[in-house]
Amino acid sequence: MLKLIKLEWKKNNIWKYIRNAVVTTAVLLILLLMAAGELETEATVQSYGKTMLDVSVGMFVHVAYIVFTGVMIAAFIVGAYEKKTIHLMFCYPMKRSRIILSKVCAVWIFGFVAMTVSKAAISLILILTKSFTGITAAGLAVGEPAFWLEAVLSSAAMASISFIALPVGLKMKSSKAAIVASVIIVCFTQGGIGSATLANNMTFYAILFVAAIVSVYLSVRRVETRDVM
Amino acid sequence: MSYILQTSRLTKTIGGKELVRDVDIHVKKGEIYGFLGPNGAGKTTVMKMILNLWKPTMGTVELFGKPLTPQSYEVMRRIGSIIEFPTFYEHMTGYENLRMHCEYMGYYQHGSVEKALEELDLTAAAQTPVKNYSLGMKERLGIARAILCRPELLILDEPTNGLDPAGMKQIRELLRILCAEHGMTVVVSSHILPEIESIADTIGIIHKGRMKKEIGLKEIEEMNLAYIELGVQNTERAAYVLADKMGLTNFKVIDGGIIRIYDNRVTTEELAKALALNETAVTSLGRKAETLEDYFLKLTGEVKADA
Repeated sequence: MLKLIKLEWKKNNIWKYIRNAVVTTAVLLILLLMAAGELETEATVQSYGKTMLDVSVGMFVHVAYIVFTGVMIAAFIVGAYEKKTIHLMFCYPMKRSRIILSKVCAVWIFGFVAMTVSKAAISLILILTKSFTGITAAGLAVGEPAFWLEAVLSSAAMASISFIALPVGLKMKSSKAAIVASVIIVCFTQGGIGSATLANNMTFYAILFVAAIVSVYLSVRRVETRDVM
Repeated sequence: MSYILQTSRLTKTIGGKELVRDVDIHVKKGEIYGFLGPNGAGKTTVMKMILNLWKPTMGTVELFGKPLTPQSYEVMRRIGSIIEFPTFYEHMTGYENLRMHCEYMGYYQHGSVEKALEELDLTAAAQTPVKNYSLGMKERLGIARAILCRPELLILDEPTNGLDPAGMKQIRELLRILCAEHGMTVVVSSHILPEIESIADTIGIIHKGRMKKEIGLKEIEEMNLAYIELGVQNTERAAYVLADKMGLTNFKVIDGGIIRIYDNRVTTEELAKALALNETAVTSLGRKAETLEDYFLKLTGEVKADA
């Protein structure tokens, strides 16, 4: 399976995604710094900075990378059906479910690692630059294992939840549909109306996680016996 | 007789539409099997079912003596194919695409990629990204990929699409070499008659989803396809002479005062003499041969545009 995953990365030009992930992280960092900087002269800067960074680093990264993972799902999996490269893949001497699962794993691993690294990089840079930006960064307890555990687990959860977009793209045979579906997922998981939000609601995330597993199952189910259109 | 590939009553229906019905194919080891039919006849549908990409609604496919099932993965190691137009990872070079294919096939013969590229005249373009290839180059790269792992069975769906005449000739020669020197069996589909006629040992003719005929080229040659074409002013009179005076039955009256005589025992001299004796004016007389094209059109019931 590892070999198949590596081949997926190779043929989908993974270096392009690494470059884009670096750029995305840099943009997120700039946005966060700009947002923090606006309140520099206010008296509440410290408390605002703390609460904002508690929530914002994770939220910004999740918003960006759920869509990013959606784009990868569109390219790696839905695009293979669109461009008919899947015809070639399904003529290889191996189970089709393995082929699809290798694609799923290739995207999931990248999405998970990219989210985790992005959170870590942004948090560390914010802490290292706090003397310049004037924010406390007290919410970014990088010295505590709980911080890293939360960062890793939430990245795993969000990378998984992104796969709800997969059956949408496959059903509609459209990469664009998969990307739009991932944007809708972002709205549900990270957005809110007024003070009402489903973000950080563990029950809601658990439901979405199950939905993501069902989505992958639906995408793989009957792949051996279904006609390849 | 054992066949490397055979289908039995292969039928495919999608959305209530019957694409092919009761298709029986028999491909012998080491031969070039030409799968001939007009566009939309069902050639690609049949080939997709042979490659397990589509599942038959009814009927069976047997490859190398074993029935094809959805779990027939290992048999794919023995097959090279192009279905419709070959697809590639466009940002990768031709060489990288072929290497990738070897990785998936588990084929690690040293120098095989270079050899396949050389056989298809693509050595110079080996390090060029496929996105910069022309249509013909992509088609040739597709064939290079199909033959790369030296499969026992090669299934090519219209492989000369997009090729210039020189390229088509090159592919025909390559297929002959692969058959003769490597014992490869080739199933090649086309809607272009001369292309199939020039390389195939056996031809399967499909039309409107039905297999019309499966016939060896030698059989076609041996069949009574040669005929004498007779031009007369009075076809009724001439037909009377042929039937009653000469005892011929195997002839056909064509429009415009033309009669075709398929009986190979009669000579043009005998005909001329008999018609002259019976005072039947002859406007033309000559021996002709029915081409595969005529035979094909007769089987498919299609009429030439210029007829």
